[in-house]
Amino acid sequence: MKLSAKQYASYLSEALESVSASQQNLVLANFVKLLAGNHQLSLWQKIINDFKNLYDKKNNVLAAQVKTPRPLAKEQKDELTKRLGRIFDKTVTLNETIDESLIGGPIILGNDFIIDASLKVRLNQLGRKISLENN
Amino acid sequence: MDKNQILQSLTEKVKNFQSQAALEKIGTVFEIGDGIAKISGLTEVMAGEMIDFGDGIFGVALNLEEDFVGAIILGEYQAIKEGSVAKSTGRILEVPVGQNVIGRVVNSLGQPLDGKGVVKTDKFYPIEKIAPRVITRQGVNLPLQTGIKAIDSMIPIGRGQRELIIGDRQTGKTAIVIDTIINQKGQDVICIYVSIGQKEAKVARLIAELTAIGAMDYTIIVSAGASDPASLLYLAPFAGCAMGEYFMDQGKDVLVIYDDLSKHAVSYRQISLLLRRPPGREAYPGDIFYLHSRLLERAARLNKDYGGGSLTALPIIETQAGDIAAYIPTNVISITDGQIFLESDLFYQGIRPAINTGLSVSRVGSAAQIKAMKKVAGRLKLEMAQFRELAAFAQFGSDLDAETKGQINRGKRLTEVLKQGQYQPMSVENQTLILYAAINGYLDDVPVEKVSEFEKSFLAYAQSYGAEILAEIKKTKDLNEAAEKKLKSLISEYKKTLDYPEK
Repeated sequence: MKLSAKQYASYLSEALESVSASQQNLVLANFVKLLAGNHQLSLWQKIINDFKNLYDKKNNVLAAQVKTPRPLAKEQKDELTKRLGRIFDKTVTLNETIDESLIGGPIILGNDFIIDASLKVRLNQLGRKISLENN
Repeated sequence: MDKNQILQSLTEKVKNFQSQAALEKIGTVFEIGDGIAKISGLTEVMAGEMIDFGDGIFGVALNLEEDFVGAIILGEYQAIKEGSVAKSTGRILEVPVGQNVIGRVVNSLGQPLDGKGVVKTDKFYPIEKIAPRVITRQGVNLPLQTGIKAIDSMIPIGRGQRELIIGDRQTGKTAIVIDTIINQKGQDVICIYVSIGQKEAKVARLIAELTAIGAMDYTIIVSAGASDPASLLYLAPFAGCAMGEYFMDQGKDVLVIYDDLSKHAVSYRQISLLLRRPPGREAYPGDIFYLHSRLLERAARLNKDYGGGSLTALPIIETQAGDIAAYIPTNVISITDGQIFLESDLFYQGIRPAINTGLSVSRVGSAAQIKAMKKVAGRLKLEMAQFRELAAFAQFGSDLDAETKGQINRGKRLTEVLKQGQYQPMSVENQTLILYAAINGYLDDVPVEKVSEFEKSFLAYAQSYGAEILAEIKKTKDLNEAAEKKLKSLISEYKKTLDYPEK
């Protein structure tokens, strides 16, 4: 039976945990050989993704991405990290990207969630509210 | 309002506006096609939950699997690409309900199709709902008059019943339900016509017809046309049922027509196969029976404590070459409380509505008939059964004994009386009068080809000279001895005015 990327990732993490740091490279090399033997090397991207998710979950880490039209100030970034940490009860690592097309307001993106406070969404909300009130 | 006022009110609104950013669960589309999307992510999504693809496109999560969610897309899906973001909404799919929906033509999502603007209502009902439970129900005992003589007398339909209408194409299935809708005028019954996979031209003609007669004032049309995606066809009957349930909960009587469930089954088969659910008999999925049974089980008559409303369901099934033993027809026959059989042979013989009175049954039966009708219906059923037995001998006319001949003659006239034109539903009082006359031999000396003429002029005569009998039946719902006596003399009086010779 062929294994899925998720299964490979979980077996790999188990194997890596059970050996000392010096042997981890050997485990990795063996893992790649196993993949090649199973003709499943094409799964590498998915395995890396799943491994990352698994690692974050184990270490209670949340990797979030924040998109803003202008760079955030240091205090803003700290405040955001702190608040996100409180919402999810996890250690948050923020990855900042600049997207000028947003014009205003940030978008915070996680693996399976979004907090969208961009201008576009706010204007949409306003439009919906006005059209509802006029009916 | 001048433009300054408009500007001022707008400024006011914008000033008071507080936007809110909320945390939303998202997923990513990784496969799309044939109206089906597979989405990874979307943790904590519910089965049947609405999924927002942005730009006003919605989907419904149907398959929740280990790594992904299979969803049907409601409407156009060209704008959705691989990698598109899908948001979960936390809401089960629901449709707008309420007084303002009446008279409208809407799609399966309750969006208007008639160009009369948005449906203004703030009430929503989920389209999937568990049917009313045993303690909330009561027996079916009130008639729902279809206005069709053959049905109201021999296959009576009660409020809260589920009666299947089954037959080949072009046998007048839709004609029967349209007549039934027309006959509900002034009866305080809200009608919902759900069109599933019908030609748009047919639906347009039907709407025009109902509007002309004034039946749209109490009718909702839910239309999922032949060119709409399978997801909308699949949802249409559930949407129509939800709209009806709202009125039932208000204590009103509702009639819901599903036209037709064979196409509904086909659309569900398409969705199931695309979602890779295992196919069964005729490639239908395993839960096709449950799909129809949970829909039709929502027809009910609630008892006094729960408002006393009712929801009557008239599902339609189209058979292929009269094959009622196919999968879907047998399923729906076993779910419903009876069926009305239409046959193309009868249709071409000119017996319209082409109801096969031998095979058609109503399992609720005479509990849903007024007393006056009960008095004539029992004899009518018997006479018709005897006539069918003897009909084969009819061609040996001269060699039969007098009694058999008499029965055949009576049967021929009864068949003639049961014929009825389209868009001509008849009140139950009038039905009682003409059937009483026919069953008691008053038509035996009327030539067969003159029967329909007799019926027409007799009812016109009764309108003016027998008004009190009609009023009596309407009031007491019974034909008591005094009224019966009056009716007898009315018929004899009327027959004196006829000019055709008696045999």
